[in-house]
Formats: sequence, C-alpha cells, structure tokens
Amino acid sequence: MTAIGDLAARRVVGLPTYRPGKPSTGSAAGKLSSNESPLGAGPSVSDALRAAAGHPHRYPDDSATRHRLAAELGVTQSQLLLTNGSDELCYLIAQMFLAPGKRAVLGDPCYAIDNTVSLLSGADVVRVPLVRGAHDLRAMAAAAIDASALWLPSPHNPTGVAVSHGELVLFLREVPADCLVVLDQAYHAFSSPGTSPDVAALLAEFPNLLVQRTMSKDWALAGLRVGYAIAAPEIIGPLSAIRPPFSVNSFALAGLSAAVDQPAWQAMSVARVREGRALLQAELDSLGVEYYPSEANFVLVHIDHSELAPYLLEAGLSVRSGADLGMPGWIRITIGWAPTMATLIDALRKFSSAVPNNG
Amino acid sequence: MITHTDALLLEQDLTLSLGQRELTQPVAGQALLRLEWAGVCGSDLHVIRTGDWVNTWPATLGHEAVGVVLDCPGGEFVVGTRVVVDSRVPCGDCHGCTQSANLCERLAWVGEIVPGGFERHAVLDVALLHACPEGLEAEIAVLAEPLAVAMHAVNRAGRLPESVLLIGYGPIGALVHSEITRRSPHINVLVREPNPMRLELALALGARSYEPSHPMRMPLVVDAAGYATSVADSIDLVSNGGTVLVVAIPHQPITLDGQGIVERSLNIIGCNGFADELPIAMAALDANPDRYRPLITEAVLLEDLVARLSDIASRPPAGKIVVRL
Ligand SMILES: [Zn+2]
Repeated sequence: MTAIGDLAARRVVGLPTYRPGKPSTGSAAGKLSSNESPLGAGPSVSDALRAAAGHPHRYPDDSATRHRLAAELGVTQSQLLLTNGSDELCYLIAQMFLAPGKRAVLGDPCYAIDNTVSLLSGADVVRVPLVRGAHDLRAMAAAAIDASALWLPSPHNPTGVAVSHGELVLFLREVPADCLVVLDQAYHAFSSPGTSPDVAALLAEFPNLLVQRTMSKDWALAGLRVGYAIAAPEIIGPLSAIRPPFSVNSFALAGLSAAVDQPAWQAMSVARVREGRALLQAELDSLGVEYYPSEANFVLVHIDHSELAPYLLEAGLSVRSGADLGMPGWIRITIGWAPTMATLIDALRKFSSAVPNNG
Repeated sequence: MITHTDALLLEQDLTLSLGQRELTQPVAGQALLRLEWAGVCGSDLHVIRTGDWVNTWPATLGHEAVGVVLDCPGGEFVVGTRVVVDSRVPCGDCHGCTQSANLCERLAWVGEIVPGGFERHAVLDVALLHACPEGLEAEIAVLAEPLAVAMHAVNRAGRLPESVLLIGYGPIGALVHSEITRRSPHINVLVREPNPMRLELALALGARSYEPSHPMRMPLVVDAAGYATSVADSIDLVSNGGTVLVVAIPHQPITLDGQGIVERSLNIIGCNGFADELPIAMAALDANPDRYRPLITEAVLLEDLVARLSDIASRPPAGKIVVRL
C-alpha cells in the first residue's frame, strides 16, 4: 500500500461499512428491507421536482423552506437546521461534540451511522445493551456521566420499541446538562397516537436535547436526502456554522415544501402503515412467532434470515437480516403495500408450517 | 392435470365457505388459468347479502380477476401469459349486443353465470381474456376491470366541467376521481363521504371535502354511493342544466323529482359496466402503476376471505380490497 493509502486506511480501521437494504427478487414493491414508504411521495412532490428542474444553475436557498417548516413544527427558525438527510446531521453532531478523550453513549444494538460517526471522531464509545428491545435508560443515564453525546433513537431501529414521554422526562433529568442527548425520531410518525413525546415541552425544559428527524420515512423523500435538527439556538447556531453552506439541494427543498403542503398524503400513508403493522403483528401472534411490538414502520421478528430466505425468494420479497443490524437470528420487516404484505403473510405461513418451533 | 380448485362458495341460503370446485378440462376456445388476484366489488357484497343475479349454486363470485394461462388448447394465448378477465358475458344475439356487450339485453357477469375470480384456478372462454402488457404487476392489473367501469362512466358524462361533486368515495368513487384528474389534472373535485378513512384517502389524492355548511350546486354530480336517497340528493346538488351521473346501483326502488328534472333541464345518466374501455384501462395502469397503488388499501388471502367478508359491514375498507389467490 502507498503511504497515503496507508494513512487513509488507518483512519477507517474498525469502522463498520453501512450496508443498504437489498432489493427484492421480484418487483420493486417486494422490497421490505429499507423502511421506505410503500406508496411513495404525494403527486404534488413530483410536480414540484419538475418545476425545480428548470433552475439547476442556481445555488439552493433554504430560507423559504426553513420558514415553512419552522411554522409547521411550531419552532423558531433559529431552532431549526436542515441537513442532507439526517445522516449528515449525525456527522455534524459528532464533529461538534465528540473528539478523542470524549465519550459517546449508544444502545447496543444501535443505529449504524451513530456508531460510525462516534468511532470516527476518536471518542470512547460506550454501548449499553437493550433490554427486551428497549433502551436501558437507567444504565444509559449512568453511562452519560462524563459523556459528551448520547444517541437515543426512539422508536429504536431495528427493534421498533419507543421511549414514552414520561420515561424520557425522567431520563433527561438524570443526564448531566453538558451531555447532548440526540433524540432520533426518524420513525415517530408511525407511533400509536398519544405515545410520541411532546417535543416542544421537552426542548423548553432540557437545553441539552436535540431532536433529529428525517423526511425519508413518513414523508417518503428518502432519495432527496433531507433531515433536520430541532434544538436550542445555542446548539443550532454552531452546527449550522460547520454545515457545508449548500448541503440541502434545490430538489430536496422543493420536494420538502411540496410534501409539507399536502399533509393529507402523509396522514393517509401513515394510516396504511399502521394498519399493515397491526395485521402483521396479529399474524405473528397467531403463528406464535416472537417479535417486538413496534411503534415504527417495520417489525423485528425472531426468525433466522437464512431459514426464511427460500420462502422469500419464492415470493419475490426481501427483508433485512438482523445480522446486519446487530440482531443475529432476527429479521426486520418493513411494512409495505397491502398486497405485498399479503404475499409476505402467505410466505410466513408456509414457512411456519414447514419449520415448526421457530422463534 | 388439475381437476379441482379451492374456491369461495356462496350457497343459496347465503352461507359462505371456502371449499373445492370441480374444474372442467379446457377445450379449444378456452383457457385454464392460475388466478393470482381478484378484487372485491360492491356488487359482490350485494350478492352476498341478497343472492341476486346468481344462476347456478353454489356461486363463486368475483369478476375483477387476473391470472396466468396454464393451458390453452386452441393456442390463442401462449402458456404463461398474464391475462385480465373481461367480466361481461353478453348473449351475442340481441339488438343491444350489435352495439356493445354492455348494452346486451340479457347481460350476465362472470361470477354469476360462470364461476368467478374468488378461486385459485378457472376455465374461461378465451374471448373473455385480455393479455396484460409485459411487466404489468398482477396486483395492479387487478384494477383493470373497475377502472374500465370508471372510465366508461366518465366517458358517459361527456365534456367535463371545471368542478365535480363526487358523492361516495368507495373504490369506484375513488377510481372515477382518479380518471377525472388523469384526463384533466386541474379539475376541482369535491367529495362528500362520511367515512373518515375514505375521506382521508380522497384528500390525499387531491380532492377537497364538500362542506355541507356551504351548499353549492355543481354542474356534474357523480353518485358513487348508492344509498336510498343518493340519486335524489344528487339531483338536489346539481346545477340547472347539469348532469347527474349514476354509477352506484341503488338497492331499492327510488322516488325522483320528475318535475325538477324537466324544469331544471337535468341530464340523468346511467352507466352499465364498460364498452371498449378494458384495454384502455390496462394501458393506463401500465403507464403509471404508482398512481393507482394507494387505491388498494387491503389485501387478504383466499383462506381468510370468508372471515373478512363476514365483518365487512361493521369494518368497511378504506379503499379496494384485493384477494390473493
Ligand atoms: Zn345480448
């Protein structure tokens, strides 16, 4: 290896590689591996993207979109930062708050990017095992003493288990005020009504809280890469100073505005996902297969991927192997379009009758 | 050789069960199909409650079906071809038939005169089969028949005005909405629908809710609801000189304001099935399948169909239910 290559390689040694969900063996609709929206974005989004296509020579200007989104969320613009997918936000947070000699606290398993950026920063990484799919908040709060950042995805990916508002308040009271708590709410829209924490109230009480969201899931804009942070201006200001100035492009801004302007589409899409999730969980109950009751658009199921794989192949479906997500022996099933889910349920029944006593 | 198939059976006493039906062997001019998906239509639900229109018992309902050709002795279809079933069975021998199959004076339907789509295999005349465009998903192709019905209804309405009131947002109402905006994306479609899940779907697809607090007559009113006074309500809500398009079948005789129809110069238009719209519907589905995906809101396996149909009155679906066969 060249000297320069050696330097580069040493920088990423030990870093896990992010592996995206595999495509299905059949049609695109059979892909139940990436937590994507089965119905896609609303029709007004493609119209907005076509309109944006007329001005590719202009630098993007996010002020109107930021204004629109802040109003929608009931926060000020100084509390809001748009990023190139919520993954960019992970990198910015790590760059801002983590470094060699600092400590990051994560669940185990955790969201892969949170782990990657923490390791890359050179910080000490403390992993706190989940208990029955849920964060062990007591142990995490204890680990947060002397930590600089704590990553808290809720609902958790890949378990789908969420932290309630009450649990979160008690937890945040225990975490030191100089440790940033990153509450990643990528999947909060899919939570049962009434279970999602009240973000405005939490931000008012806890200045060390940062709420992370994405437009990739319930808003179905995964390909456009838009996420955002909501936090105190004292956090948002410095983060925006280190964000590349044009990291959210014109298409993403146009798509975001159009999506937010048509909330009925998001409401309908989310309703379908909740129905599909209830059907899948009822089926798993009747098959006697273990799973974590989910508040997200996926369900983590205790079936070994390699055992189910032939049945999925036959049905033209793909799901995510838990081995990729720190849960070997499990699979993560994204809630898809109703006909796709019927096909999946048929495959699960065939598997279950051929391979009894699984799970 | 396939001699029997699993099928949903409706007995004359209106009991429903999953059973077996004997299959005849296909002869020249017929094809044996492995059915893949079938749609549940409002008229299936009507027959389940009443037994109307059925000629032979037990009946296997379902006239929105898609499947793959397993055997075709006359060679009209290559084995493996995916086909959509034409639901109409005209007599071929009346004055109406000389114009269009849907105008047949003795028109019968698949599922009533011959076993329909709620079964895994079927033997049907090749005249009833249309080959799908290459690559069209079966789960989308299953919408071809009801979309053809919606297209025919919109064709019957003639030139579309700028605003339309749609009463009822069940599957056929949703397809009529989709067809109107496919032709003219900027038409203002108002929807009156009491079921919140159906209204949510209508709003998601770009319709607006008709607010009873601001009653306003509209030049075109589509009755896709079929409740006891829905035609009368449509007549109340249409502008003078306007059109009421009756798409849903009223389930009992209805009383109409004849004087109003005359004095207000109204057009009352009925529409039965479809004429030549089925291949056009298949082409539209093929051209933009994602446009139609939200309309299918529920999918059940054939073995779960009896249970689902038994609670359908208390738990109506948001959109179209399709059955995996
Ligand atoms: Zn005839």
